[in-house]
Amino acid sequence: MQQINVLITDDHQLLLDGIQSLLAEEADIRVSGTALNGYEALAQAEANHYDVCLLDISMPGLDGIATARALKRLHPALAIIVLTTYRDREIVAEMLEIGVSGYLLKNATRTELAEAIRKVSAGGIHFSNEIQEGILDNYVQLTREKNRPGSVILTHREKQILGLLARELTNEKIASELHISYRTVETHRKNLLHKTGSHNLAGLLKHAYRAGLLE
Amino acid sequence: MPSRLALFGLYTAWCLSASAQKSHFYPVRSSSLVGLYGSRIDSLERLLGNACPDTFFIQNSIILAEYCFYSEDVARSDAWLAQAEARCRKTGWKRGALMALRLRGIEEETGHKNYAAALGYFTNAALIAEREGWSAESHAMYTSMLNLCFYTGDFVGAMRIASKGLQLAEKEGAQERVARYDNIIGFIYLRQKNSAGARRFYALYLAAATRRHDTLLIADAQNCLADVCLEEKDDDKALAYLGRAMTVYRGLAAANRLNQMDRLPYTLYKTAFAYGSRGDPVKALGYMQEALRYVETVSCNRYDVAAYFLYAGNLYLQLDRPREALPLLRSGLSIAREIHHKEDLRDAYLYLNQLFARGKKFDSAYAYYLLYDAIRDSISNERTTQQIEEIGNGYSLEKKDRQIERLSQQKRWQEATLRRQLLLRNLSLGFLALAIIIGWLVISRRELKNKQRTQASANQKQHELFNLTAAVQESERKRVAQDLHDGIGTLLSAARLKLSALPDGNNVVAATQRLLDDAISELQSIAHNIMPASLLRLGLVRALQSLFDQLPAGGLHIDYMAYGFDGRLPEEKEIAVYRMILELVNNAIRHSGATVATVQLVRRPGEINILVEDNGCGFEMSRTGNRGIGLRNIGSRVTYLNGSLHIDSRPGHGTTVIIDLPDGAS
Repeated sequence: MQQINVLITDDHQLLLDGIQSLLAEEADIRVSGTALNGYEALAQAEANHYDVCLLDISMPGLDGIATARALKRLHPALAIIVLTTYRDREIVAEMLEIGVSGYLLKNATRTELAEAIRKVSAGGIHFSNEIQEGILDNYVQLTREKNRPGSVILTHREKQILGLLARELTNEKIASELHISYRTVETHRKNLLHKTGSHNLAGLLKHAYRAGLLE
Repeated sequence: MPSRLALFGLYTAWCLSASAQKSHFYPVRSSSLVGLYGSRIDSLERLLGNACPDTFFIQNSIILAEYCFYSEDVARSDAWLAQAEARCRKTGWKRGALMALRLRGIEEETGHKNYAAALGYFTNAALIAEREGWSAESHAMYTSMLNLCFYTGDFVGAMRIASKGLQLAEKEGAQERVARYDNIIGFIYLRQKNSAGARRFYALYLAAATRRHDTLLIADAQNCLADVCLEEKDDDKALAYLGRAMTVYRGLAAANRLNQMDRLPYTLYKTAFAYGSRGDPVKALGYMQEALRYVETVSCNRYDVAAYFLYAGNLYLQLDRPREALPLLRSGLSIAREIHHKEDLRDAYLYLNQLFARGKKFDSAYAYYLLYDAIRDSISNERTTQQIEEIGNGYSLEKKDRQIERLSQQKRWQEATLRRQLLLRNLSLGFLALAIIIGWLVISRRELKNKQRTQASANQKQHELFNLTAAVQESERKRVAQDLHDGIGTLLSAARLKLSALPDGNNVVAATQRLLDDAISELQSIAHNIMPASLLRLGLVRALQSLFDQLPAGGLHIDYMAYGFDGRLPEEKEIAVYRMILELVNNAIRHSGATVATVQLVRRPGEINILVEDNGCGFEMSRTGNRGIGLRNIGSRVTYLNGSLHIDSRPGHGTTVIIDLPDGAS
């Protein structure tokens, strides 16, 4: 039988041993290497052939994120399963972007772990249920952001101020119109110039007309 | 190339003179040495029969343990050492205890590479030597401790030990030892980039060498002074010193009188470096090739060899000869890994990145860049700890300054009173009443002024205290979160794993698993609140995104935008900004009744602008209510970061908070 070669990376010997003993009962999975940190994982992956790498995130020195990035660049065929307690959405998103094949929380059962290893070694993907829900939310959000026109996104207040600037109101007038302070108007104006890459009011208005930011 | 330079002198710090203690050149450990030590071990074991006297037994069993250690028979070594230690405790024989501690230290240092443990053993051994007044042993232990400090980059510790050694040597009038410590202190100053201090102590070292007419010692001192010149970018002068030293070394080597031959490659390396920094890589390479030839024949320490490989690789890279550079850089990298040398690792990754980028192998180049980036971050994090320490030091210094100022104020006040008394005595009674009134006015005004001044200084002090507390608090939070996650979290996860190995279908197991899951997720959220992982790992912008995605904001919709944040800010600043924004958003949720809030971060060249606005009820600027404490905290943080805070709010017209911070990073 073709065995799946697995590399486990975790900075706690306790967990390395635990995972190893869990997987020992699966005949088609062979833990052929362990690493206590990211550097060791990179060195191991360079020296031997692995099909799947189980990777922790919180490690001293090179953490799981940097390790995953490096592993994917150096060994694109190696399937990575993140095994962590972190469920922070941005971290999951970052790992997805890097191209990991799986993301499991450390409360995964033996069957789930083994199943995930089999799936990703065959080119599939596997994510914990909780993570899947998060991914879906994130996906909706990402597509929403990508659908926004133009590269410059103005806040509601900035659009208001842009409109008043187009009507040639001075900072003082704008301040009293919107019931905000002079200083606040000034800040918005500065940010408008910076965000649109303009040097002065004329440039800003030109940009605004072109980009359709003014109704 | 400043970090390379930092390695210089490591050599000179331990090869101090021709007759320097050889205590730090342990034999290479290898099983092939069994032959060499084997017969001695056997005969010693025969000697240590039953009824030999305690001191004899202890002394020889330690020697035996050392032999066993060098021939890689660790178990046997340990057994003999343990026996020796037991007898030491029984008899209270101090010299034996010292010998045992020293060997334990050597084993930790060269065997397990556990430098902290080794330092502990050597320190205890030094304590015994100091208490018993054994100066040779004290100095030997100081040497071992100093080397460990240099390995681990603990220059504060090194300075403490070196000045202790210097005092002892001066008390004994041991000229050569004094020179030796002058050299070490010079080296410490050099590593601190204090070239004036280094030059002062190296000059003392040279003077001592000249007094002794010791050509080798003089050459060593010149070698050290060359380091100072290199640090000061005076390559010509460095080359002159190095040339003189090299002539002496070559002469002695030819006459077979140079006992530590690694001076030759080391001096060649520095010569190469001087040519390299002069912009002559071809000439530099010539010297480097000669240095590398020595590496094969002369025994050198690993730290130097790593530096040689990396520098030679770098030179080939500069000359656009990647094929020759690659094997050198790989060798340098593997030694740097073996000895855990962070700065070497960083440089190796950077050079390999450049090499692959030039060869258009961008995948590999990128991977090495990531390794470089990660380790560079970890080095600069260590610097942050230092900065916190400096804040602490700065605080106590300023406190002292203020005390001095207050004292001189008092003195001035006393002088003025004295003068007033003289004046009063000379004035007629008619003016007395007037004088009293004037005097009273003067005093009360002065008191008022003094009061204001004390108040200002109290405010200042409070501000400084806040800064210090904030810095300490954040680093403490980071530690606690990490400890929770890595400590208890790991134990819980391990317990969870063990349970899941049991067969399914048991109710108690299933319930326990659920409890553990709850515990893990509870722990996660506590750790997250203390210090979010995404903030440390992915940075401010993404951590805020994560925060707003998950924040139970009630009826508040948060629009969040960040502009111009390609790179990260210093960690300390990211944490401060994160906390301020969290506080402001919490204010909006709790007090404003707003339906929409905007959080915008804009990074312009040289400054960062943070804007948090909501469409809520607003407030009278004079009546901040429960928001007050939070806003004051934000004010303190902003002042600490040298920024400015602007709060713009009116009842019925929402609130805008603007924070401008200088951006020193760009």
